[in-house]
Amino acid sequence: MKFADAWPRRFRPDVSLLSVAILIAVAPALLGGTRYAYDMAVVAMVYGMFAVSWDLACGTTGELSFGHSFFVGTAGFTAAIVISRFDVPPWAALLIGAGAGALAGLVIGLLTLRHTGPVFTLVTMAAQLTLYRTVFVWGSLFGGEEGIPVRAQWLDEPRSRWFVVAVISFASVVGARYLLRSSFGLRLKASGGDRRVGQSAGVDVDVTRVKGFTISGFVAGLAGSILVLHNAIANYELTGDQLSGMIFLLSLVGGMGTLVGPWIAAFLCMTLLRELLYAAGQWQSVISMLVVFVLLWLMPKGVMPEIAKRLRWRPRLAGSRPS
Amino acid sequence: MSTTALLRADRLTVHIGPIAILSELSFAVHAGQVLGVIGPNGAGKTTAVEVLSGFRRGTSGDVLLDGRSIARRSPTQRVRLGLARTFQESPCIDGLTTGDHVRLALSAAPQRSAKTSVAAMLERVGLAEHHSSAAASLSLGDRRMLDLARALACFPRVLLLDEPFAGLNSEQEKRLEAAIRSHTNAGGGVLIIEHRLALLRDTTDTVIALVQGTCVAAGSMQEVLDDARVRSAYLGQAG
Amino acid sequence: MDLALLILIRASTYALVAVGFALVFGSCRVLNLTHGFYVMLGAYATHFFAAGLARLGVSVLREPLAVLCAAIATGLFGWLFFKLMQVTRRTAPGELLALSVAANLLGAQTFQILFGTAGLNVAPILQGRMVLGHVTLAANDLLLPPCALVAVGALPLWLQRTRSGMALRAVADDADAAELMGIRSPEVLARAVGIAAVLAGLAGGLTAPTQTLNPNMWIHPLLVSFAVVVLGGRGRIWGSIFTAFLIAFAEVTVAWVWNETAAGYAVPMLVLIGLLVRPGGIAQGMAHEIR
Repeated sequence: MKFADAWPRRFRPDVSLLSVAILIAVAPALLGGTRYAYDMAVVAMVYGMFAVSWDLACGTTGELSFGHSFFVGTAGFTAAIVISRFDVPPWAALLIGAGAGALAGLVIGLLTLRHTGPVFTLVTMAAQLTLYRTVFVWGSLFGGEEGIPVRAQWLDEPRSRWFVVAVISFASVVGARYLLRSSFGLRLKASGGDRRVGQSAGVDVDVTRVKGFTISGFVAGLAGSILVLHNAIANYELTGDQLSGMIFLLSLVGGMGTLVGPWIAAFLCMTLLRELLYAAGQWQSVISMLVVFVLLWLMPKGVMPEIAKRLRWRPRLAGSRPS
Repeated sequence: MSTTALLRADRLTVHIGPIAILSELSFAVHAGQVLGVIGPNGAGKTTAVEVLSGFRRGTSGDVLLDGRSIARRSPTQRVRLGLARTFQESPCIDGLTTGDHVRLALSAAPQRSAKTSVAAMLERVGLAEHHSSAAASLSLGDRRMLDLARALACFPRVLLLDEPFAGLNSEQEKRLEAAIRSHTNAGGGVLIIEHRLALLRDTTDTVIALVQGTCVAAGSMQEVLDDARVRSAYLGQAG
Repeated sequence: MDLALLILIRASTYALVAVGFALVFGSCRVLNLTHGFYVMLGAYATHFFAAGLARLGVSVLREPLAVLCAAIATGLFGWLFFKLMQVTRRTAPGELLALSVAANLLGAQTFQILFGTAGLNVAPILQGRMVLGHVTLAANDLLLPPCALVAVGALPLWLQRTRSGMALRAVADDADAAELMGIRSPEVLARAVGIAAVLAGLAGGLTAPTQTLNPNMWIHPLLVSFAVVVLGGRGRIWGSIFTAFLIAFAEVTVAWVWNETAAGYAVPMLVLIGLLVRPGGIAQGMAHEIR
């Protein structure tokens, strides 16, 4: 997505990254400064990473993945299994989980290689549903309905855990942004368009796409592993359609392709929205979904692009794309 | 002049079922030379370029770059080996700017260049002012020039141009001719498919005429146009 | 063979569910992702219509009436939602998709809260069970093949012979040209969505008696519809029917050889393997396109 030419190029990224940093910094205090607040912020930052990972894969190629929880689930369960069965220390488990996520990304990249549009979406759905079902079917490994409890000492002090996750989450946004600005990022965006153009520019479209998915899987996997450690459990929710659907919708609300938009949308949903709706009890999920629906209805391209458009106070320069 | 052609098509054949789109087509593009390809619609000209550039596999026959077979290579690999092409429809990628398209090709080209080269490339084709515009918003003529810039940014040795003059205004035509000339002066080879014969007359060194998938005449423009089979194919078409 | 009948019944269900989805996708290239929700809506609506009719004192033909009302109500609902999208100009494919997903999840979660633990049931139109060989069939299920046959048979007739059907084909082929001929494509498309929703609701109502209603009922029909369209040639009627049979066959066979849970793998695996083997869909080259 292109920001207004009104902003000098160097100034632009700082504003959005700054917003992320500010949100990270103030959230715990605004939420009450309690242990609960810090824990909530951790989950929110993890969801932010989920959204960034989705946007890395989908905002660039233009495909719509409904199965992102396939990455999260693969990574989360891998981390849980290595911790609970093989006594792997938590930091190593995080990396192993992230690696498993990358592998899942690779698999999806290969499975969806020549497919676009609805076929792509269906394949991601099929993969996610397969894993979901396997969690119950292969109960001995995946823990079935109860899941796998994860007992590990990992940054048990809420503020230190929050700080580490904050650094990782922010780094993932910055890293993703840097990646998309690089020539690899350009190739990734090209791989979502007419194949011929990319190929005739010397870009191996297929390889680039697979690499993109692998990286996306890595980020989602890292986040998923963190979540498992944080919640001390890995269960079917990690690979469910609820999670996939939320990641998908929140990324769209934020603004597909903006990276920061999805992060902020996910973060705000898991902090602000949750807090505001606390009183609604069981109707929480319904009201959040209603908010998402209304936001998508009002701003189909996402909140971030809409804001960028509104802030464009200079008359449009000749040759820029009409909205 | 070396006897090894820069690019050689060796008995290219493309069958779809019983229909032969290309039949034992052979020709060569030499260094520093421009080969024109003319022929009525449906003669197989674009198909030939598709096979040469790797976007279509021939039923039989070989494509040789510098004497080495590249028939098994993917389009991307052929670009990296120095074979670039333009497209009749001049497609572009939604969401990328004009500059992005050139940067894409530059980043994949062996000679990595700094950002200034993007501007230089765009300057050559007259698109410098559209650097940050969405490529999809360009007019047809501009998109064709972008396609050319993208191909040139691959720093190719052989350029395959598919009806590059269509839709260009006179300034753009001049730029295209200049680009072709500087490419051949630097030792590169060019293959142009074109319908506007007047334009080809001055640009090409050799011309081949394709009719129904085979080469019916080769030589200078005049010789080819004087050929009886070519005349009947064209005049028969106009009917 | 007893399994064959089971396969026939299940294939009929899937055909009934998927043909509407295929119609919409084939004509407007829109993935109506609320389609599974319409099946669920049909099932729940049947329950409530039956209860309402009972309260009105209707006892004769109450069950069929409930199903019919539910199907029509679902059709109206689907039509209204699409109309709403059209009126607010949110029908660009990406936008519609996102809004459908959000609406779907919104509806599903609402159902979860309202009816999650209710364990509602629907009375069948045809009572009783039959035992055939190793298989027990509910008599109500025998309604499915004929209904599916009528729906699937009527659809091509409607497309070929009626004005509205031909209008849909016109819009599917070239919306701009159709507009020039005076065909109002938004109306036509909305009607297609409505018809699809009616069929989905009908399927929901007919299959409701053999299961307990639960708020996750929408997932499987959506997956099946999606799979039928993608594997079955993107909107072709015969391809869709063929794929519906293929899916039914896979599920029933796997359930027979292993168990019902394993049968749940049938569709995803079919999709993954099917697309690897035949990226263009199984029904490549089959005739009788909708668009």
